[in-house]
Amino acid sequence: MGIVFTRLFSSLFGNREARILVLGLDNAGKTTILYRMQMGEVVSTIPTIGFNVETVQYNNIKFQVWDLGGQTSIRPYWRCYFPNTQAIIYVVDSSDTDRLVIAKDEFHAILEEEELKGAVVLLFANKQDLPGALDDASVTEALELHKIKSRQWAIFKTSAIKGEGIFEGLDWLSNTLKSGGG
Amino acid sequence: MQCSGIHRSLGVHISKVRSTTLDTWLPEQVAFMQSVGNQKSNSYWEAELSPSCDRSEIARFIRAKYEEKKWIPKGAGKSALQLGVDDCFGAKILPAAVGVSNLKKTRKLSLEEEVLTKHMAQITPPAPRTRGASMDMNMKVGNLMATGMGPPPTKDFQPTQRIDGGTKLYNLLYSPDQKQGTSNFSAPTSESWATFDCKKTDCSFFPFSLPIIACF
Repeated sequence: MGIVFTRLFSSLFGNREARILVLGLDNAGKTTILYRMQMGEVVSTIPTIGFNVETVQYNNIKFQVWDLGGQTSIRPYWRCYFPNTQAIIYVVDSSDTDRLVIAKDEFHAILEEEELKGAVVLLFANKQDLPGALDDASVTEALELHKIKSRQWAIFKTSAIKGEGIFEGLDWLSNTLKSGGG
Repeated sequence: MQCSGIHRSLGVHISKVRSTTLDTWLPEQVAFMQSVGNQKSNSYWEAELSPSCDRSEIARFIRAKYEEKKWIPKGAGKSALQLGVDDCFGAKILPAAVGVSNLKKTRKLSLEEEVLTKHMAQITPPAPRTRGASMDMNMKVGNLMATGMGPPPTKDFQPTQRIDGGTKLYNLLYSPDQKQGTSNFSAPTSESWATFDCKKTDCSFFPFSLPIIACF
């Protein structure tokens, strides 16, 4: 009864919690995005060995955001964090066109994961401030997002440095999660 | 680590950062490292740099060096260094000594690996992944060869034995591809490059016009 009441209370007053993984190749901007969301600031980062985790309160949802290192040999460890994840934020360096193919392959490998079957996917076409950055439509094409089946997803152009697009993405995420996705 | 963070913040149009322990390297990237070591690289990027330059402001220094090209030779045209990876192969693979001046003794694990190992020991060990190699390893070397971007087929690649520590990267790079018969690459002995190393505060760079920064 207590649990039922707590859930009812949470749904009425929007005290939801969500576990989010921020994934993507190394140097995509995951850590910068995490701290942009959490503190609203640009921090100096070094390559993440392991993970960073922060709580971000946004639109009445308490996001527990896990930012995992993206270097090639530590990507296999991502799957340790997959259980009970409601959403993936997949970050792409839109200016690193050489590695878009790898970004695509890693992305589709994630979608195949059984444990992430119910997770909604938010993509950030990051680094829009850099010269030669592809826009969201081009990244959509490069990552073959049309192949995504039976899953809610969205892509946003972002610049973590300028602080653009990230909270638009979080708006989408919170609305999607509130409406029952994930 | 700090240097690599600054380099990453410049964007991949200025420099690319690859970890020697945590990333995989494409053959052409390795070939570039072999052909352009620290000495040669810095003789270009720091040609006009005064020895008394204050390096304390590392970020500003790196920006000036690579972004503003502040100290490249006066009136420098399109030198081999400026051409980037693709044009820097050919028969120009230098004696190993060029890039080796900064090399130190091999250690079994990098600092990062040690941290990672400790960290991973504390959390759940990873379940075996269904796909064998990382996605980076799936890049077809054959494409490079086909487009003439690869190094000249001087001699067949002789596979070396697997060795621990510093040579791990070397093996990572070559073992999957050579089985596919795409290994016309003239490889050096593992000792000549596999022992990249650096102190935390003093990174060994192997940079060029779109420099790849070897991070340790």
